Amino acid sequence: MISRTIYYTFLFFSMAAILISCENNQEEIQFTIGDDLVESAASIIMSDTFSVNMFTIQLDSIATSDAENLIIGNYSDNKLGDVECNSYFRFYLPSSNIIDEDHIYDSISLVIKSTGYYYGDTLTPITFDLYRLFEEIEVYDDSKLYNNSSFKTYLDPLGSKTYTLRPSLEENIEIPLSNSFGLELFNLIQNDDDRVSDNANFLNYLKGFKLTGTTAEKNTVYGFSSSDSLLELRMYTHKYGEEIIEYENSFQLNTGSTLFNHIETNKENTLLDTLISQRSKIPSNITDEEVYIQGGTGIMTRIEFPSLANILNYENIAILKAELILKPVNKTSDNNILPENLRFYLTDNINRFVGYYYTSSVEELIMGDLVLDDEIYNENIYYSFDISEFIISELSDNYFDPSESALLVTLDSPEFTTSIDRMVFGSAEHALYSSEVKIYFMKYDD
Amino acid sequence: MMIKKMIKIIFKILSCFSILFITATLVSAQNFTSSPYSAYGIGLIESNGFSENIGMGAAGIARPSEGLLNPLNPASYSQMGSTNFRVYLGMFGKFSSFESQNMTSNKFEANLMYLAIGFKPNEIWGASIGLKPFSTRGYNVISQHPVEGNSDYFTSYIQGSGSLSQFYFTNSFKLPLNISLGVNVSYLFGSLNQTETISYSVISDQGILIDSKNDLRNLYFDFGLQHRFEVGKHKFYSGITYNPYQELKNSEERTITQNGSTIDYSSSNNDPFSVPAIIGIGLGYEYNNKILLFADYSSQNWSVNNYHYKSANLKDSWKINIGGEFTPDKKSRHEYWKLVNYRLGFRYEDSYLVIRDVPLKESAVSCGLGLPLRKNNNTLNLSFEYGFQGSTQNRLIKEKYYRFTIGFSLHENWFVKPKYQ
Repeated sequence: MISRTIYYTFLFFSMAAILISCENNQEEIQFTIGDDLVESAASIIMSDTFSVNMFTIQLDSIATSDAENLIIGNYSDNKLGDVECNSYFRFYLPSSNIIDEDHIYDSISLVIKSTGYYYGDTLTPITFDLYRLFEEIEVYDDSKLYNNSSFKTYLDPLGSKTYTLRPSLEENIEIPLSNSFGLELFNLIQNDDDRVSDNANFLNYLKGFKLTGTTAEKNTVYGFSSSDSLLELRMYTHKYGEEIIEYENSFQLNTGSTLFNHIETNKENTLLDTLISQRSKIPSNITDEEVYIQGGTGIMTRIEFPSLANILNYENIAILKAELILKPVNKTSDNNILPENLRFYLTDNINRFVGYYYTSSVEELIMGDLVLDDEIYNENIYYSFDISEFIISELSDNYFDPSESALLVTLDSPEFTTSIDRMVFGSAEHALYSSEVKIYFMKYDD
Repeated sequence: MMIKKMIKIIFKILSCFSILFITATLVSAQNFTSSPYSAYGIGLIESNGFSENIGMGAAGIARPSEGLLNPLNPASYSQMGSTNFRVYLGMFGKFSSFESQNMTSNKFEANLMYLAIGFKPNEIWGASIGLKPFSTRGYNVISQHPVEGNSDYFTSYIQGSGSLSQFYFTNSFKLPLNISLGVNVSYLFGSLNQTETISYSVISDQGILIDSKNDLRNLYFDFGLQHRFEVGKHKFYSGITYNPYQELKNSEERTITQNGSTIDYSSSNNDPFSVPAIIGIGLGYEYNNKILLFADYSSQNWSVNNYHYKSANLKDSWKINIGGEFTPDKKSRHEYWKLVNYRLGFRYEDSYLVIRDVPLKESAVSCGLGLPLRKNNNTLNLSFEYGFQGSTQNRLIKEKYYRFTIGFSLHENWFVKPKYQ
């Protein structure tokens, strides 16, 4: 009796197992029956009414050593004031000394090569002056030199040249230097003088150079190469053999932290003249609802979110995404190409860098010819930044002070240290280009 | 001898309960349906009955448990043959085709369906213990909702699953005047779940999941009466069933996760879920042990239910079941086909839901066979239903289904006093 029941039971479960394994769903049936039949427990809300306060700040200094490029020139306008750019560098002895007793000195010059970078008007003549350093280029413990570092030079330039560069072209410019300088140097080398016996002594003798460039109208800054063989101290000599053989003796460029750009700024007579230290901040309403970023000088934009703390009072919500939208003001810059990336830092109430955030990218609805015509307003170009992580983590400890948790926006490297490119953004109150923050929330039922 | 017998009996009972237990864990976790109509309340309420009943339109409130276990009326078990111990095992397979707004989708599902034992401790007392589904939930729905604050939309994928099971113990007693009384004590238990996934292009890399689990449980009681009288070759049956209004304890747990981490967890005891009273009446007729006919009517007043639904209204529900069974010759020795029970039936239900002003209705025709297996009245019962539920009006969903049920109905002769000592 038992066995038959157990037999049938076993048979039953086997059949059931087989049958159940045949179950299938035709592509997991999904019904679109509209939003009124089955209750959804959540909804999504986008809010663009959180306020954004924008400021312009100025860093005390930025490191400009180990420069990827030299920037030379001067530029001035009534918004950001005067900018003056010089470069400091020094040379070692030539890698192989070929000057022997038969050589005869001809001349010496500095050869520089433009990178094609410029800021401002082109086709204006620029006067280069090369000065010999009186002081040694001294690098301290952090192995960096800054845009406000400088070293004393002799009063008169060793060489000058006025030149009109063609825009965007790479050109070699030769600046002839004084022959009394060149001849003295030549003789030291030819006579194996102690002062040029090795690089250490050589640097003691020839401490380095400062190269300046001046335009009459203060309206252009150019970029030049900073790599060995493209920035040359070149001495010309010749020798009599069967015929005259000419030689170019190239001194080796000392790349690294002793090669830096000095970028000086003077903001008197601008609306930013009160930016005297890194702790200051100038709100956008003082500068016509604009805020600025400028490479080389350390001008950056600071962004605060005064009403974010309200989110702490919301119940049953989760932040899905926060998007910061910055709109460039399109008429003002001379250099109209918008950089692809900008960089963010997390900062505190005195504009220190607390954390490196991320780079961002430009998003636009219309790209194409950016403002060839002053009348074309491209209001639809903007930078979009995902600041979700910033907002979620700043709110996560249930406390938020808008002046303690803010963002700094700047140009990406290397533009921030080797150019004077600028960005102008409209604040939230700007009539045409108003920046904003959009926060997406999920709200769920109790 | 008696001890050996007792041990055997205890062993049988234990093995039956272990089967019951295994099935309980399997059954209570399963999905039986794909219809979005199961999103409401406690889901789709299963039509009762074992394979023998389903084959004849699930009619049988008046039917006594003679030769079979009839779960449609708790009073039926007092009529079991006294030497019987029955084990009933059932499974189903259902092929459904869903149609809505000119799109169709198909699904095949199969599962264990019921497990029961029936026994007769003495002449006037019959009992049954079993496990069967009470209601089920299963659906996959996509809906679009507007984002507040801009003109975008987000998509919500909602998946429902779960079921309530009924573990019951029925006792039935023969009273004078050919009346039987039955009392059924059950434990209803189970959970109904919903998982929602939110998808929106702006936040495409995040997974947002809302998981709700609704646990429902309680003791549940229902009662029945049956009456029979015979005149010659004619037998007349009648029966009443009554389930009083009862409430199920209702607790809910909800977890919301974003990218895998929990951002909200809540657990609460909701208002109890009301199961309204059900009244059923049935009539039956049998001729010469060959032909059986039954007709039932039952109704449940859902309009008193306090459960709140979005855009669905509740109304009182009612259903009718009609069926018949024909067995050519129960005592045939040589012709197998004469021993087989042939069944046919029909049922119609006007259910408790009105969605978008369209009442949800279901109808089905059925047929079945009871195939005797060797000896001892073991039978293999097959039934087949062809039915419709819902409608495509107002962008709703119509389901057409083919459902077959396979039931093993096993009889053992326990409590047999041996003829020879």
